[in-house]
Amino acid sequence: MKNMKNILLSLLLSFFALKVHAQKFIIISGQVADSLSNEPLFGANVNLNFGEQNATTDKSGKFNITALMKENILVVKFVGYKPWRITLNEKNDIKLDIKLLLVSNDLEEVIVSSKNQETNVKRPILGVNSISIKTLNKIPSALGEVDILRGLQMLPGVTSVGEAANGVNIRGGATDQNLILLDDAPIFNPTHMFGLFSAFPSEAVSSFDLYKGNVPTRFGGRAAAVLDVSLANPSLEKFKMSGGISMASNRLKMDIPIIKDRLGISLSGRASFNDFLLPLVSPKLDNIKAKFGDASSKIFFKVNSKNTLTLSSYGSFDFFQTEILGTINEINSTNTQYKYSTINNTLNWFYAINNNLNFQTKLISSEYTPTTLLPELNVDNKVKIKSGITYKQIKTNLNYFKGKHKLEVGLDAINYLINPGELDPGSNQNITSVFTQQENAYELGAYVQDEIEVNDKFMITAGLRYSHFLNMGPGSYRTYQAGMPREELALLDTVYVNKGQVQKSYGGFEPRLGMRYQLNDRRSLKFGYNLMRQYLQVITNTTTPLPTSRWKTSDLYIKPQVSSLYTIGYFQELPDNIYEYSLETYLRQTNNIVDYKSGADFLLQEYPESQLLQGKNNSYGFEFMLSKKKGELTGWVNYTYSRSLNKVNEGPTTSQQINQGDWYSANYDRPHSANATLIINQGAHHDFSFNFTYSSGRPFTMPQGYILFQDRSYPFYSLRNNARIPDYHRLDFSWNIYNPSMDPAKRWKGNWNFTVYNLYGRKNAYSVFLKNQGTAIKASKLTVFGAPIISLAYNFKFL
Amino acid sequence: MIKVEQIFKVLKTEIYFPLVIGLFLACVEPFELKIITTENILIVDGTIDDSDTDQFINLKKFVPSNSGTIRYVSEKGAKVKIIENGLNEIICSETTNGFYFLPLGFKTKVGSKYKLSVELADGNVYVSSTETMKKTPQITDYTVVFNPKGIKKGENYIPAHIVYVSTKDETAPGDNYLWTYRLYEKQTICTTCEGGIYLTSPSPLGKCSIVRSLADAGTIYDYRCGGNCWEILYSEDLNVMSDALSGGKEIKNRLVAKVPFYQNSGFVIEIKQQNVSTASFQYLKTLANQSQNNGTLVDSPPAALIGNLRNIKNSSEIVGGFFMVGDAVTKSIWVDRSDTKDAIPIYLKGRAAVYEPANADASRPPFVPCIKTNTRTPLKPEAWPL
Repeated sequence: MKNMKNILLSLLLSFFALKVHAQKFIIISGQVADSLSNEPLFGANVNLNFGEQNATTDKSGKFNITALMKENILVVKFVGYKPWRITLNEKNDIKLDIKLLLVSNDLEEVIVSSKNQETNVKRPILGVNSISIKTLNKIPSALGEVDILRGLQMLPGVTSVGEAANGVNIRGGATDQNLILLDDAPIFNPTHMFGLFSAFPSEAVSSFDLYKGNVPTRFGGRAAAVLDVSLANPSLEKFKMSGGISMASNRLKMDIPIIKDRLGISLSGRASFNDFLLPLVSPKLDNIKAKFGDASSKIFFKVNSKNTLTLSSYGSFDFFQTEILGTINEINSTNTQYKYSTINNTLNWFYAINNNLNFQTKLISSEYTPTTLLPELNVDNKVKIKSGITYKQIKTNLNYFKGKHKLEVGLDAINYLINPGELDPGSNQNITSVFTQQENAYELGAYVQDEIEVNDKFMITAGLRYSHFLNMGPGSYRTYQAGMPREELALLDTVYVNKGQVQKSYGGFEPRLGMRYQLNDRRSLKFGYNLMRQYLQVITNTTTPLPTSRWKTSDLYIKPQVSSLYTIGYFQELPDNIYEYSLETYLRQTNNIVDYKSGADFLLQEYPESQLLQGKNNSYGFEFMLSKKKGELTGWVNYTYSRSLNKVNEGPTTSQQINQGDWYSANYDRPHSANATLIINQGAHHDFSFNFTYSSGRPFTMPQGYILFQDRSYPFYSLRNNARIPDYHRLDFSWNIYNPSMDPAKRWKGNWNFTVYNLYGRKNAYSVFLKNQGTAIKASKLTVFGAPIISLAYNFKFL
Repeated sequence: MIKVEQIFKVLKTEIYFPLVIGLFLACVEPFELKIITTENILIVDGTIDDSDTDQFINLKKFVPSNSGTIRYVSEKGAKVKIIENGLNEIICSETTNGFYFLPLGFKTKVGSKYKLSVELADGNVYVSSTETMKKTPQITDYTVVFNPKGIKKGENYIPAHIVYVSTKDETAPGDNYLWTYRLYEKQTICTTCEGGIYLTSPSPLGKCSIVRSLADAGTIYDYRCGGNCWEILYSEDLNVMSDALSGGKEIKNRLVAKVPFYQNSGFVIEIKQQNVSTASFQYLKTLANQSQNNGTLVDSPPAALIGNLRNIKNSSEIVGGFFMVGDAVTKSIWVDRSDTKDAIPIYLKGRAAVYEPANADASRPPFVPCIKTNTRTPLKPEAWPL
């Protein structure tokens, strides 16, 4: 028996020997050392073909592996160092000289600090967040579209009402309480396709900063936060091109130097006109139309060594038709279509008077024109409801750096011209043209800010802004009986205001203070106080504003929103600056927040004050953030506990109160939220990343009884936002492959991005509602992305 | 150099198509929601008009529950009256189940003002705001269009006739229109027996008698009507519109009904148009927005709906329902359904008829009498062809 075994074993071995003999072996040897000190590394792990063979370096850092002659993948790892990888296709023995890089010496993957490269611990103000565009390109995004707003929602304190939200909520603020700027020009509608994608041309953006704590005094006009997005300057040296195609859009950007080192232009565009394919995919989609596009250009001209001129332009366009956006009741149409566009321009003159002093003047214009189109039955006519904002601004500022001071003073003036709504019946003779009164208003600001380095440890950023608001004629307003609800019944008179006359003015100081105390090199404590005034707001009675929602300036009745924010933060870097964590807690109190009355209707509404109530909001929260900034694995995890509560009580009658004048949750009040973003960098050619996000369900209104109308039951609601929809959570995955041709010499570099959004296909509720169906009342939920969404995008660079 | 054209081609043919769907995955599905109701709500539900039908006020109280059931109790022993032009008091007489009927033959008059007063058995008194009966213009025109995908049901469509009407708005502003309809469909099946057969006694309705073998086999038999019979179906959606944008001109092509393609034979639809007060309109519009026009991405969160009745001693008490007055004009339209082409009917019962097979017994299967009820009538509706 034993003999038999031996024979079999010998046969088997000889078989393998023959097989092995048919292939050739090579010897892979090498030495592993520290990249800077050149010290050999003893005990480093050398791994062949993912575990086929393992070796350890000896005292002199050397190793030896015998491998088959084929494609071999070698990975060298050592604690504290970045792993080293190589793919070998050698036919002969090879000797490798491997230098490992200490993780702590690695260049920081700038993940969540601002563009000026200061670390969070050292930065004098708190509550500033950013994500580098490089990181944003790596992390998963819906349908392969790099998206600033979705990226921001991975940071603490930034949430939204759901997937189709037309903006984000920052530290308990409404979407319209964020000032969103693209090269200083305001973006009134930050999304395409009703919230599915952000409107920023990702290809052309160089960086962005989100100010959710201390807001520098140069910004004003919104109560919660500032998102400051910058377009990249054109290359003045050589022609560059980049672009891509994803399932949602096609993108292209070009940098064209015109006069070397002096004048250049960059052009970028993104467009999606693919909806004609939808009915081919499924007949169920034949009633959907969706097109969007945006374009930007930036001209940079270096006039001389002291003067530069920059002209940035941005335009965006959307056309959208779907049944899930509802209809307009008063116009008989077969469908509802939304069309909206933005055109922005910023001219910036920068004058460096000397090394310590510079002067900037900017002329800014923005035009936002949303239109609702209502195609009619059997005739070639569309009834149009048009509205628009024309924004013009001039701002100038002086920056002075000397010793321990960084001083900035400035002035700005804004003119708002708002067309709240006009009905154009087209060829329909049976609908009356309606015009609502134009709003004409000025917002003036003057500010000063100084960043003072008191000593090595203590730094103060103190600023004061004064803003003044003027609501101008021509126009008219109504007067109502004092103490009565602003309704027809209490109407006293209509007062006319002539052109050039002031209907109502408001103003006030906006102190801003930031303090940083450096406990030691790696730890700091910070405090922030901000007061901000907001004179322009969206008035809407929907969960998230529609692109066509009306912007309204303050007037006799709609008082400016005034928000005070107190923040305290603790920041710590761990040794080697690989990890960093922070704890921030805040309290924000806002007066004169705007909410709508039950049954409010804002369509072509001449007197919106009759549909609105004002009250206060208290928001508070605690944010924890841990980030790993260097190494093969980078990313962050965070947790936020936050609340946002409103109280509206203008008078004793039911129509002057919401929820009987008690505190109630804001639409976007989500107490718990946690996010994790992990990027696994696998060398120069590919990386993987994951996003996980969780948040408590947002509030919705549950009926508290039922009533009858013509013997049919209907739900009866009395308290707003008295229940919550199910919690939201989602995992996304993305895989980036860079330059698959692996030829570093090529000017054309392509990369592929494969993304799975909502990896485990959770059907997150966007809303929960009760609907009468026949004689029954049924609860339903609306899901926006209720399945894993796989997408592939191809991007290229021509450098 | 990578060939861009090739990439585009691959993306379009192999990857693009399945991916585009993802963009519009928005879907609505049933949701388990436990509704714990907490409010006792008095409901005053009454619409009076100038039609020939019976006029009544319905008084109920909603009773809260933890189980999610909807339960109302009748308010009995109340004193209900209508005050016309501040002078005439019209006393309503109580029948069963909280219904208080106006005197037979009562009709509202155009230009008159009406107010409702309710005194409950517990002494609480509720009065409504004054509602003025406005004249309703005639329906001037109508359009009926067949659409094979007329009604969306879940992910599918049902073929349907879409009915639009036109009317000439009154010159003065402040008119608000409410449309409702009654649909008359020829009914051939007057009863259905599950697991049994129909017996004509006891007269006049007869009854289904269980037959064990049929019950075990799960057999269902339909029985024909003995004579002409029409099924009456009512509008389920609230349909209101103000004249804010029509300003005394024609209101053209208002969608008033989507009639499913029940059967190949024609139907009559009786459209009722009423001019209601601005307060009624606001009430109904809000009711519609929070019960039938919701489920979009941009719903208005539902809010407290306040009707036009107040407790005179406690103005903060919530009173559900609305007292409404409206001049009613009607238009009956015959649609022969000859334009349905290859569409497949969905049948009134949701399935084709299965009659009890005939056999040697000449008395079987028997016919079933068509008894007049709210949902069925042997009387030929107006506009039905000879």
